[in-house]
Amino acid sequence: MPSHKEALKDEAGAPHSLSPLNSEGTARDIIVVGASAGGVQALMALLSSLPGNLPAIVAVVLHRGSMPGYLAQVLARESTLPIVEPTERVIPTAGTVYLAPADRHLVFEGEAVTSHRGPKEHSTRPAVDPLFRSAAAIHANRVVGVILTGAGDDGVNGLIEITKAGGLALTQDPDEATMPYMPLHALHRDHVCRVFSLKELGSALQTLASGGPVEGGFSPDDRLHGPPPWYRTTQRSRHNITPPKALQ
Amino acid sequence: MCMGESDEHKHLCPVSCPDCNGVLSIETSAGQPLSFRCQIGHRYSISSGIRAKEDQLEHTLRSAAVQLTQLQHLYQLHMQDPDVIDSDHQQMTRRLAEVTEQRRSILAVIEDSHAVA
Repeated sequence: MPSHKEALKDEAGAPHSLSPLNSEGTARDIIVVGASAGGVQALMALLSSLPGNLPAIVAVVLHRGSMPGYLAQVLARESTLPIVEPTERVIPTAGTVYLAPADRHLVFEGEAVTSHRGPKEHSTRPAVDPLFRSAAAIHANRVVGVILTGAGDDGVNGLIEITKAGGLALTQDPDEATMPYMPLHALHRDHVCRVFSLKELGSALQTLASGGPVEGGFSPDDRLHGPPPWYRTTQRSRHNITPPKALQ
Repeated sequence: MCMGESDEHKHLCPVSCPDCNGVLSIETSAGQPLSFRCQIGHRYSISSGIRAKEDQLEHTLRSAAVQLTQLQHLYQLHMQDPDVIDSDHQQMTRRLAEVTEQRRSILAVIEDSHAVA
């Protein structure tokens, strides 16, 4: 009996036809982004494609060391949006990027955004899951969650919470990601509604923030590569997995 | 709709938290992958939990290897003492050989491990 995913694919293996995303016209004006390995370059590319008048709050977690650094300044080189690392409660404004400070989880708390030194998740702080969970709990269907390049599976549970709350779950195309595993883990959980290349992602987020429908991108089923990524080191030859292009 | 508390099912897990050694609970709910959480609030997925435990294991093994190295130094130092009687010297020589072999074995365990996560 074919699996759920196999049943979705047509026999010719052709790409799935995609209906417009957000055709219901909801303004998705809370954008939460998680990234790990390779994330600096990916975030620079994404932020450079967002306009200065973006009608959305952007919150970003990049796995980073516990010591203060110059990440905000580095990202600001390519961003037209101001970048803030909140260490206390601030009322967020549209058109601003809130970046998780070193060694602190970034979270939404009521109408504010703040950061704290809560327990590490997946052995890391900041982690993506706390941001995504808090965004889902507070802003529900206004939220777009985006998983970019990275190893491991931080962000997957949070992305599922966003979907449960009526928000949208997106990933970077794992074929172009420096490390495809975070997007692949999310895709294998069946909760991602669309996959975008970095080149397309900025304009898609801008349209979603305005409540418009978005065409393009890839179906999650067109971006899956064999069994789940946690088999990658022990089962690859047995299951004849084709490694993602980024690793070939 | 957000997941409510009533949707969650928790039960104790026979694995301690890699961060704090506290008791881990397994959290399961419909549509969610397995996750683990301790009373402090450290959270893990199955793969990040394996990775953390592998790191903890290597840390523990290296700590043991360091203790054995230090024992080597202490025994060697003590054996240079001219006041040590012959019978003690023989016992220390035997123990020094054990310690050297145990240290080698532990480093071999680390070297021969191939973590998956």
